[in-house]
This record gives sequence, structure tokens and C-alpha cells, in this order.
Amino acid sequence: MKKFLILCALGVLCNSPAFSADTFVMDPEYTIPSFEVGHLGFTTQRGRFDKAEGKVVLDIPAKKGSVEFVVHTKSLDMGSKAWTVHVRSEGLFDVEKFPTMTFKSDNLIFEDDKVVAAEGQFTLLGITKPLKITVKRFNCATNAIVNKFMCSGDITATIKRSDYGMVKYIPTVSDEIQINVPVESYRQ
Amino acid sequence: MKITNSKLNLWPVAGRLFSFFAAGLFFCDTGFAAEKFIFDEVHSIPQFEFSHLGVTTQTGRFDVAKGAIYIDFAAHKGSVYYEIDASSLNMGYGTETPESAGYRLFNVSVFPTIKFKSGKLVFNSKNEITAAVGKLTLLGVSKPLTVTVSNFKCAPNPVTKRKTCACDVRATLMRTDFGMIQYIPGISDLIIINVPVEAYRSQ
Repeated sequence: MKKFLILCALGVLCNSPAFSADTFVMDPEYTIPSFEVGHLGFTTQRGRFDKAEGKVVLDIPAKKGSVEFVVHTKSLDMGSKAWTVHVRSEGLFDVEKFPTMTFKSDNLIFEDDKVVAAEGQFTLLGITKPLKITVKRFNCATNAIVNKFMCSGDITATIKRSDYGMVKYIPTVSDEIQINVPVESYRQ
Repeated sequence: MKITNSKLNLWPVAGRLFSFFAAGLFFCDTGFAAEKFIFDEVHSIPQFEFSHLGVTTQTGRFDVAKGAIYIDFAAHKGSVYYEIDASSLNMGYGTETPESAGYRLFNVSVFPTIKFKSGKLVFNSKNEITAAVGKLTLLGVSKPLTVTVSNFKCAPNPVTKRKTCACDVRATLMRTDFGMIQYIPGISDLIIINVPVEAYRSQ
């Protein structure tokens, strides 16, 4: 343990970022978060945030890494303009007061050389709670079109919005929210 | 284009001919007991999913669509008409232009609408619609398409109090069947379509 701490102090064996870790920056055009919500007991409605940014630090041989993801809440787009204005407003995303939502994790979970999940902290309406996200289709390869090395995956997570104080219209509009984020990120 | 099952006398000749044709198409089986429900355009927005570069599941959306469904619950029959404004394509990364990939793929200037019509609704024993067998017209090409319907429910809308029938509609198609062949395989041939439908009873 002592030896580990010394090596850690030298920046060799720390959790992240170790020297063998690569940093990947998310491509905002193909990393657009959306969510699904039950509406009036009738349908599954979808909303989307058009502006988000993030980076992933990956040390695949060491099975370690971290992620930081920021969603700009004013970019919410529900399709209908009036509905968008409503969902952005106070009591729901309250975008003037809370312009960002964030997810941060330094605990990526691997199966072999693939990231399958991440345990981290999600901040919505200024409230931070633990959140485990699931990673499907994790893949790293060179995108031949742009000749850059890319790691990608489909992220899903489920939250109860009431955990973050967003209680308006429950249960007419469901408490449970399904989050979907495709991520395409390029090595720097 | 408009659908009506009455007031034919108010239409000009061409409209009458179309209405007659449409009535034959949609109502020959349903009779007069069908109730008409009009799609709430705010909550009946179509979304599609595709695989990008074979690695991620991306989505796109059309923000403007309209439709109506005619249901004869007693006879377990009905029809549906749904029309998407192709120019309302919204991929999330800015305004689409005639030069953008999305508008080129959907050839929006030549084919401004995407349509689904069905004269065959499938019911289960609980009087719920579970599918619609119809035709999708995309890029001017019409092909058979069966859409699956889940969570079908009719109830008063808790907000507006109007009688509403609602469901989640899902379909899959191969876009090359409709001649949409650009960007394969970077943008997958297989497309999944999701449409929530909240339709209120016409007065």
C-alpha cells in the first residue's frame, strides 16, 4: 500500500488520469441527450437537449477512467415551441436558474476491455445524487471518414425526477424518466 | 389534402372526387358508427432512430405532423391517416437547409410530405388496437407497412377533459425500399420509427 501511495504521488498509478490514459472529447453533433417521460397515462413523450459537451478519460489496459458531461438546459427542444417554453420554465427544468445539468464519474465499470457502466454523480436543479448509467455498444475504432480514433457507445439511465425536487405534475407526467445519450468521442 | 366523411357538397369537384375515393378507401368497411379522433399535434410528433457509423443509436424528429383516426369499436374496424411535414425535420444540430444531409436524404423540396394510411386496424379482445396494416409513402414511393401499437387506451384527457384515444406506435423499415440509398452504411438502412399518438374526439 505504501509503495502504491508513493507511486501515486509520482503520478504513475493513480486512479485517473494515469499516463497511459487517453482523453476523448465528445462530438456534440452525435452526442445529443434525450429523455422519455410518461404523459397523462397515455403516451411516451420525448424531449431533447441540443447542446451538450463532455470528455472521457480512458485507460483501457488498467480498466480505469472518468467522464464529465454537461448538458445546457436552455437547449431543450420538445418539438412544439409552446411546449418547449413550458418545460423549460420554473417548476420543471427552470433553465434560467439552473442552466446546466451534469454527470461526473471516476468509476467506469469494465467487462474485459469494454466499458459497460459508470457510477457517478448526477446534478439536476442544483441537487446532486448518485447515478449509475449503463453503457451499451461500447466500441473503439478509427473513424475512417475523419481518420480519427473514436470511442463510442449508447448510454441509458433511469432517474426519478422527484429525487431532484422536480415534482410538478407527478403522477400525471411520470416521475420516472428514461435518459438516452449516444456518445461519439474522439481521442485528442 | 384533407379527409372528411361529411359535407361533401362544400368541396369543389376535384375535392369531391378525392373525398369519394378517400371515403371508399377508409370507410367502406367501417360504416357510420366510426368515431373520429384528431391527433394532438403537440403530442403526436414522430421520431426515428438509426445506427450511425455502425456504432451509436442516433435519433431525428419531425416537429410537424397531423393525422386522424376513425374507430368503430363495435365492429373492430377503423382507419388512420397520418401526414408528416418533411421540412420540419429537426436533428438537433441546427436549422436544416436544402444543402444539409437531412434535407437531401428526404429530398424535401420534391417530396414535402411523408404519409401513412391504413384501412385495417387490428384489435384484441379488450377492444384495444394492437396494430395498423397500411402503406407508407416516402420519397413518393408507397410500400406496405404494418405498425405496432402499444399502450392503447381511451379515456378523458385529464387536462382538457376531452375523450382521447392514445398509444405508442412503433415501426421498422428499410429505407432503401423507398429509394433512400444515400449514406449507406454510415447511416443504417434499418430505421425504427416511434410515434406517440394522443388523439382527441372530434366534436
